[in-house]
Amino acid sequence: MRKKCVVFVLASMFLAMPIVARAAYPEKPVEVIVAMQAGGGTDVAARTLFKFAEKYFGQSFAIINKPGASGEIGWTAIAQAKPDGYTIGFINPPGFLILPIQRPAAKYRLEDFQLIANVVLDPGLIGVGKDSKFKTLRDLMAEAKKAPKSVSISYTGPGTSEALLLSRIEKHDGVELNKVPFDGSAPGMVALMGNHVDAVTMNVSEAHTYIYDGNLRLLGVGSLERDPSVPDVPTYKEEGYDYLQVALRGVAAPKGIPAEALFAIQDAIDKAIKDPEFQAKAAELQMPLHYLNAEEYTKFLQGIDKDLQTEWKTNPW
Amino acid sequence: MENAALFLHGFSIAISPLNILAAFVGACLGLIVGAMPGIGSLSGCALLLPLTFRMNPTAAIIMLAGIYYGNMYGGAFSAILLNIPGDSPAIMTALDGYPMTQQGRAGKALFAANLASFIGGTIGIILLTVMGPLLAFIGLKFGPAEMVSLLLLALSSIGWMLGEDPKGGLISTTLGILLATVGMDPTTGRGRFTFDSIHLLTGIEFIPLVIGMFGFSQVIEIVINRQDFSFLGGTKITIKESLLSKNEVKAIIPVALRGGILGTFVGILPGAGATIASFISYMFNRRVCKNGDSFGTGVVEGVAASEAANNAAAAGAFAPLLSLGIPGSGTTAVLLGGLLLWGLKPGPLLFVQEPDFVWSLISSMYIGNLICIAVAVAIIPFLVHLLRIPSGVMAPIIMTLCIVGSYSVNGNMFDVCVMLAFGTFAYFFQAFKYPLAPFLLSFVLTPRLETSFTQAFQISHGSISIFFKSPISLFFLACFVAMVSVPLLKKYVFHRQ
Repeated sequence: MRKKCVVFVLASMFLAMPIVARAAYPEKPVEVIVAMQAGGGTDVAARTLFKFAEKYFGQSFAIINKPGASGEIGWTAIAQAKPDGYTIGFINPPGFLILPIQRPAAKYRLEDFQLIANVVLDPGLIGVGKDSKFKTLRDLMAEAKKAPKSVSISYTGPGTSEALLLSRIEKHDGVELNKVPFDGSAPGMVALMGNHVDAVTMNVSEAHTYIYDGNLRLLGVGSLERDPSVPDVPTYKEEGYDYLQVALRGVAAPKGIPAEALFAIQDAIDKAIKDPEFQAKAAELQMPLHYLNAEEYTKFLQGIDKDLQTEWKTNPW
Repeated sequence: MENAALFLHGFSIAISPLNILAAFVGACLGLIVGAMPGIGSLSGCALLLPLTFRMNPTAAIIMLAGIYYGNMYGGAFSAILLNIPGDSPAIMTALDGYPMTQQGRAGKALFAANLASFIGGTIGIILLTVMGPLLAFIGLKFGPAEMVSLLLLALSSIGWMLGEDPKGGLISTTLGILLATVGMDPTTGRGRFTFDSIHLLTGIEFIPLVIGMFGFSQVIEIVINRQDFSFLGGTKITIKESLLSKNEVKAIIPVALRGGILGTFVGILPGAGATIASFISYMFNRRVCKNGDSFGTGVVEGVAASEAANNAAAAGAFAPLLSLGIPGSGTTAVLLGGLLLWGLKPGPLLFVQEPDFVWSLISSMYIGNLICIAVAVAIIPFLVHLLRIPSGVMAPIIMTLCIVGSYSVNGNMFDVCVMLAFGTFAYFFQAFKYPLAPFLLSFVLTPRLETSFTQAFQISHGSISIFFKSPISLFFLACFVAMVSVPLLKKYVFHRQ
């Protein structure tokens, strides 16, 4: 009888163990806050990535769109979320870094985040129409030198990373470009093809169809090295303008998430990015992949942030 | 003639059972999504895009296109029955559709909307078929200066709506312009009238505003007036009475033809879209129709003018998407994402390299349009029954739709507050007999006018001559001058007699 009792107790203890012990992360789905509209480029990138990451993560990721105020609403929500590893988000530097510099009232800083991984690196570009007389970026700037505001160029508006780049090359050559704000690359492209502006700025991923159709010719890209998808196009640096201009998309969590959560998510993303099926899908989506782990990503963004801070003090763009 | 052969070949692909099924499913989903306030075609397509990943590209885009134009049909339902425009192009539909419902003629309004949608959509598709790439290049001619002239013309047409009390209309227009300036300044990038609130940084969201001004203000009215009757006022609606009479059909057809042509051309302009198309068509038809003055009191022509144009614009928006790879609206941007995903590169070469795809898509639009009208007409009898629900039950339902609809735009409680605030505002505004339509029109048109205006001046280095250099811009400016001066001259001449 006694023996039976012991066996029973032991057995029930054994059975109860998985319940008593702290379940391993992840024990429930993780929410991913996307600070942009459903259906936009960032949203599609996030949905595609996390669909593949689920395979390696063991739980599902739920995408939640919190758009508005150029991303500030969503990014603030990530920063202020409970750092338990069950709320993470998608960030879009450099807009993500520029915003708190320009708006001291913004309720988040880079320091409020634990960066997890970078996923996309999409260089900025300067391009002209197919029949344009400008063959190189230097041609364009030489023309601009002749008279102030004689060359018009579309950009996404003041305060953006495109505005910063243009203001830097203007300062570099001591010229003044005629910068015309357009709401995104599509209206800018219409203006270029309709001969309403001389040049455009956008990102390489947005430009592929236009390049393919022959309506857009690139003069330079803003990455450190030439972009593999447009290998014939020189970097700004090669043209004598040593400025980095890249759009990034990565994953971040509120500061202070458990280390196991950080590693689990980072690992799932790393594996997803190495998945050939995902790589094929990313290529179709014109999503230039560039994986950086948490440490590399933090260092990279801190560098950009410092550069932006100093620039803002001397040359607010 | 080569195109005709390609088109027929495309048609043969489009009528394969799978593609018809895709068009049918898309059209039905579009109708449902369109009828729900706040969930526009943009979110509809975005949410359903992943579902199509496993389908073949032709069937997938046919389904997405079905959602897109089915949505334009569906938007009319809640506008007519509940006075809540399902999406912004349906605002003008509500102006005449809802008064018709109040008069017990909801069935007629729905039939008129669907007939006009069908005619407008078909015109849009025909124009797209015949001159697709050419249409896109006309769109390219519209630079900032041309847009300014067109928008000035559109804004001045508000004058036609003012009617007997120009003072009230003027106040309404000015308030609309004023509120539209809230948010980021397009030239300096700084916030205007935002009171440091991040929610106001991108301006007042349009959909919650519209839902509030139409739907919520109506709930207030029901509660305050204690209307204890159903929307039908006790009268019975039979389907027979709802069918359009011969004269009504005769009245609708010319309106829908004009609306369809206008709508297609506005639809191809980047950033203009279905909302502006329906505004312009409504205004234009109001001007040229014999009974134009009764627009807004519940006439079938008013419903038809708006619906024909927004369906045509939905078709027109495909021209720049397919032949230039440039999306003219948020929804077509999602469709572009889909095309890229299936390895198709929209642009002039698409017509050469993937003729099967392009032409089967275009021909499927004819079929989809037929399916849409069939489905829509089939559910009208059921929809009309909704009106038998007593207002005591209806008011909470409308209230729920208002809250859900305004929340779902950005997933944000602030937008619900916007809806409540503007609903209350609209109730008092109308109680004091100020017209709402001029407010909405100027609210929609002002930001676009401002953006184009600053772009034009930036390009011309601040010189006004840019507006007089291009023939298109000159044409619209001439129309604008004529529109402002002719009534004045008329008055002057009449006085002298």
